[in-house]
Amino acid sequence: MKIAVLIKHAVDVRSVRIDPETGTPSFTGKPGLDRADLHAISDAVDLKETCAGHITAVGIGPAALKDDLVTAMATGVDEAIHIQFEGEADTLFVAQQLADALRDGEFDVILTGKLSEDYGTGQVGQQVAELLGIPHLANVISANGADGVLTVNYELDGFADEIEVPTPILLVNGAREGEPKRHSSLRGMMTARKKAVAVIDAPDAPASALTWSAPMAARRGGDRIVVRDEDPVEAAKKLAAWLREHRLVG
Amino acid sequence: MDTTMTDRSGILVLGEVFAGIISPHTHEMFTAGTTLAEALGQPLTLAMLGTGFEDAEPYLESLDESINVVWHEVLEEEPFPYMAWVDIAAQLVTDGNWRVVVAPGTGIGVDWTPRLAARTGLPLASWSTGVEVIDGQVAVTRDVLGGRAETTVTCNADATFIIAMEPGMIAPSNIGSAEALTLADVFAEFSVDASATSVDTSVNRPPLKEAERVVSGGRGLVDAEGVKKLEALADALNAAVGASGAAVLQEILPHEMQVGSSGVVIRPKLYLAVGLSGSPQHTYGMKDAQYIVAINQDEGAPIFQMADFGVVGDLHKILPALVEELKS
Ligand SMILES: Cc1cc2nc3c(=O)[nH]c(=O)nc-3n(C[C@H](O)[C@H](O)[C@H](O)COP(=O)(O)OP(=O)(O)OC[C@H]3O[C@@H](n4cnc5c(N)ncnc54)[C@H](O)[C@@H]3O)c2cc1C
Repeated sequence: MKIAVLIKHAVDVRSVRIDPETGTPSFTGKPGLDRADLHAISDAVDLKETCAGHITAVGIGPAALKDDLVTAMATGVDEAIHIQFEGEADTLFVAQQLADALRDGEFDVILTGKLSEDYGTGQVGQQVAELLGIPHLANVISANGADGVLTVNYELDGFADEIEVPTPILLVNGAREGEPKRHSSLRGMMTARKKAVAVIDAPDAPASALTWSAPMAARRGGDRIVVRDEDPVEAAKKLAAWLREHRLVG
Repeated sequence: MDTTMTDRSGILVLGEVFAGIISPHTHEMFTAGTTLAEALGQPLTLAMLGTGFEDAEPYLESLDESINVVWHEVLEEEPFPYMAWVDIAAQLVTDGNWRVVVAPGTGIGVDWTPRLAARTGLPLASWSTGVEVIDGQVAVTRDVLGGRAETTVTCNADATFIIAMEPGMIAPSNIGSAEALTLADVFAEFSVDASATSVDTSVNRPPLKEAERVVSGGRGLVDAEGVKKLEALADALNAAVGASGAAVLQEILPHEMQVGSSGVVIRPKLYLAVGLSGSPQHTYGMKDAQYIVAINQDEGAPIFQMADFGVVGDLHKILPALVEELKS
């Protein structure tokens, strides 16, 4: 089976810090492969192992996306396409570039993450499927391609279900807590760095009808004290002292 | 009115009727639609999509005559039921020259609204938590960065703006004589009565709505053991006990204790959130507390972004230690 996985370069939300005065977020960590996509890559590699498949990772974004594509290859992806694009664009523009890059590839299965960690629109996967004229299935837990038949395990109203689906199809990974199953290995990184990444230049994005305001924390001010890596008794002492100081004990 | 701006006019609400039942989210979409229609001075069209119209139609007979109601049957086909929805919605959207289309953010809506945007080439704001008109422009608020921050998305007047709302974020109003199920009703359907949970009701705690101090527990409490620890803390602080939606659905705490858009909205002096993540539906009910404290093992949980004091760690160890500390 020919498998594609769509990936995005995004901020790591676990490194968000909010300025207590202004409510403005900043990031202490480096942006990288979106965590939702790490799950999709894990699914793709699992699927590949059931059907002797071949995986192409496709992403659109700035120069730094190349590192993410290399990480994807170090995790079990076979080849990568980088659609070079700087700046911001509507989801539909992004979906159009991805669909154009995928159209002639005759992929049987295209995998994506559900919600990216930055803007989390949850739109691009479904839009790519629509533009390619193929169906999609969301909240996917796993996919199996044994004997050339695609069987998908997915979640529906809180229950897991399994169905056989036709190809080509786009599968949107279900949002999952915890760590993705697969990781890049050091050895994998060394070989992946030597592999070529195909490059496509994206056209300029048309003017957008939408304007997004700068993200702002809904609530600011306050002490914003965070106690971490502390023995429970020590943490409790600090919290109790703070509660007393602010006269919050009954 | 600035006529050079646009000749787009009208608000289209894409309601859902599932086997004769108007979905609760349709009431929310309808409320958002009427708000926009009034603010823009434009007509409202309510398109009811789905099946079982004979049962649903009578409810809309008493609807204000200025509202145009149309019905379109959606014949879902397995295994991709959303396909039929996109086909009909796209037809309705392109037949008009709408200023705004309010589309469902329900489980099935999330499947087809992005396809609708792709097919029609129109901008879509998904997971919106509120709608408003600012200087004649339609704007929505939504969470970004995994709920840690908020942004406002504004649409030019010369494009049709498709808006999909996050369910549970707008107080729903009646549609005609179809009484709006309150969000609390919707949630209550899944939830349990107090006797099914392990809450100790023999103790006299301050009532949740009036309490100066509230300690609320979420999914992280896990079970009766966790509830006991939460209650011990409530009693040490002379606080009321609150719950997150997940704690209610998991039958850890009763529905009367739910804080949020489909529970109670409170402004206590102290809100101590334990083992809950801080979803938009939950924070709707407590964000105006004077002091917020969070105890959670995941430092990335959005609740930390609104906390004055946060403890990253295991609640099952921290709560007993805190109770000891407060007693001493
Ligand atoms: C129409 C509608 C209406 C809704 N109305 C409401 C509402 O009124 N109120 C409401 O609350 N929700 C409501 N919801 C549900 C809401 O969307 C969320 O699902 C819910 O708030 C999540 O509850 P939670 O934070 O407890 O669970 P989760 O989001 O699962 O969070 C659990 C948290 O516990 C932490 N945790 C786990 N174990 C431990 C431990 N040992 N120590 C410390 N931390 C731990 C985890 O890190 C996690 O952050 C509504 C949903 C819908 C669709």
